[in-house]
Amino acid sequence: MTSKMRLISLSLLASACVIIIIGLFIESYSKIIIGIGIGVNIIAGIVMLINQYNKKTSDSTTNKIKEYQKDLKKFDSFSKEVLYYIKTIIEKFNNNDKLKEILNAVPIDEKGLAPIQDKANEPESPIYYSADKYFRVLEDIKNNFDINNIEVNKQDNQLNQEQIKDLILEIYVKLPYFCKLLDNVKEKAEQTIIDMIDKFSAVADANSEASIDANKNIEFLKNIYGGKNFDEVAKDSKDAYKKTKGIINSLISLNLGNRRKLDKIENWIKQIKEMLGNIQDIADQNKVIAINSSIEAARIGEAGQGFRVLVNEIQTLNQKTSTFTREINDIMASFEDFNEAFISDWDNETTEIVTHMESMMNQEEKIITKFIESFQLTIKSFKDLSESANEVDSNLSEILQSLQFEDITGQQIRHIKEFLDDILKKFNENKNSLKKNDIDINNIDEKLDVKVREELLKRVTVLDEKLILDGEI
Amino acid sequence: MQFMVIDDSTTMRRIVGLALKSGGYKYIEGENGQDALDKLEDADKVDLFIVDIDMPVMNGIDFVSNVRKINKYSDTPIIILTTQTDEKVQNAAKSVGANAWIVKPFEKKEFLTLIKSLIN
Repeated sequence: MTSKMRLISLSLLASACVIIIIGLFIESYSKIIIGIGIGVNIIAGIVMLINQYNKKTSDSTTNKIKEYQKDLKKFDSFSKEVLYYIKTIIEKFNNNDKLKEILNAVPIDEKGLAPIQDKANEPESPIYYSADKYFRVLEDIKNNFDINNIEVNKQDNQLNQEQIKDLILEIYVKLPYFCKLLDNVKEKAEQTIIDMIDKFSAVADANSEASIDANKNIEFLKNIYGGKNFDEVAKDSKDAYKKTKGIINSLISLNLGNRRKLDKIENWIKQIKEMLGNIQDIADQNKVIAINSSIEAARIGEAGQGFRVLVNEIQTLNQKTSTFTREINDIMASFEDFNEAFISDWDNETTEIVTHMESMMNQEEKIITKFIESFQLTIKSFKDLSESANEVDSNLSEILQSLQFEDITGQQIRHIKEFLDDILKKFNENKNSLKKNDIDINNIDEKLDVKVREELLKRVTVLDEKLILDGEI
Repeated sequence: MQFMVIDDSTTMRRIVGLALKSGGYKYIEGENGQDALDKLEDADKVDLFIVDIDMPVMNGIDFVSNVRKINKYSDTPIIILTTQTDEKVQNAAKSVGANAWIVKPFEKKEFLTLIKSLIN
């Protein structure tokens, strides 16, 4: 009974170990599953945002960007045209040396303004090379352009006086339209860029969160057991598995040992029963001898009295032996029954326990293997996520840099607009001076306005620009 | 830690904001120098200013000059972020108390490195 209890205690202990180990793995699993869950959600979030972005990019944003590119080309073409007109006016009518010097330094020709060059290492260069210097060209022209100095009668090989007058009037009519179109370009460009920034901002936020979470999760998974790294945890798990397996093996050999002892007991019972049988045989023989001796004693009379006492003793002994043997035999029989039942129970119960534990061990081994595989896969996933987040971040940096050109373009448009406004103001302030040169801006022929608008309408591409030229906006 | 981005361009404020957010910084905005000064009166202390030069109402140079007169901002780092490359304007900004100068378009990584070096 003691062995059985010890066996059950051991099996309970082993089961408890297995349950604890499995419990720990389940806890780890839960953490990993939560980690993977977070990661998957983040990735899903990014994918969703990128998909949304791509989807929107494929319609509204792409269209806006295309329009914006067209606008920039138009802006470029308008500003070149304006500069070309101004240059023409200055060259042909205005004897201002300062202006000529400025214009000579600006790469303007019939095709417009030449590309801005990066001459940052040549600060003394007279060429206006960067955006802000381009603004300063306009500022210089604005400050030096004086309508009063116009000399229509100046000799020109290419244009006759009438053509020159027409050109000035055409510029005067065109400038307000240019101003409105430029305003529209600036407004649309800003809307487009803000729209794009909103989307990139959402992607950047999600990306940044994904990157932070991925790195946190990597750290968390690496230190899942109070600062231990994964290799240590895996080793501990394997050791725990080996230890548990050792306990089960000990249990199995203990079981076998006990079973052998039980077999021996069974054997001993059989031997005792045989020995008891022999004793009974001897007692039975003694009984026969005693009866015969008693007959002999009666036959020899007085002389056999002493012998009769001996015979009586033998008979008493025989009776006692028989009683004792029967009692022992009864005890052994019940012991044998008990032992048989015990062996049968033992076999059934221990087989069940060992089978159960072996099955648990197999499950545990699978869990450990899966745990290790999942763990490594999870770490790899988070590393991949972290790397891709860094890549997205680097792309976003480039995008951020590109988007800043909208601001630079916006400033260019503002400067051009201010410049045009100033020229218009000068025209209006010097009406009388122009009139002296037979240029009457108060009486512009309506046909000229129609001609200018028709020419511009051929160049505009979107509805709102047409509405601007038709005077509806 | 809170920064202030002062630029009349909405897009530029948003772009700078994106870069700052990616570096983990919070920021408030000002649409020009005067707007920024007005907002500073009610705002929590600003730890760094990013200022454009060419702005309506009050330009960047005047803003720097004015903000330096406020005691708590007498030595707060100020970065000028502009399209201007003119040395005269750069010197003017430095003379009124700007600490650094970046020409647009800026590169995010360099921008954040400069900020780190200034706030440390």
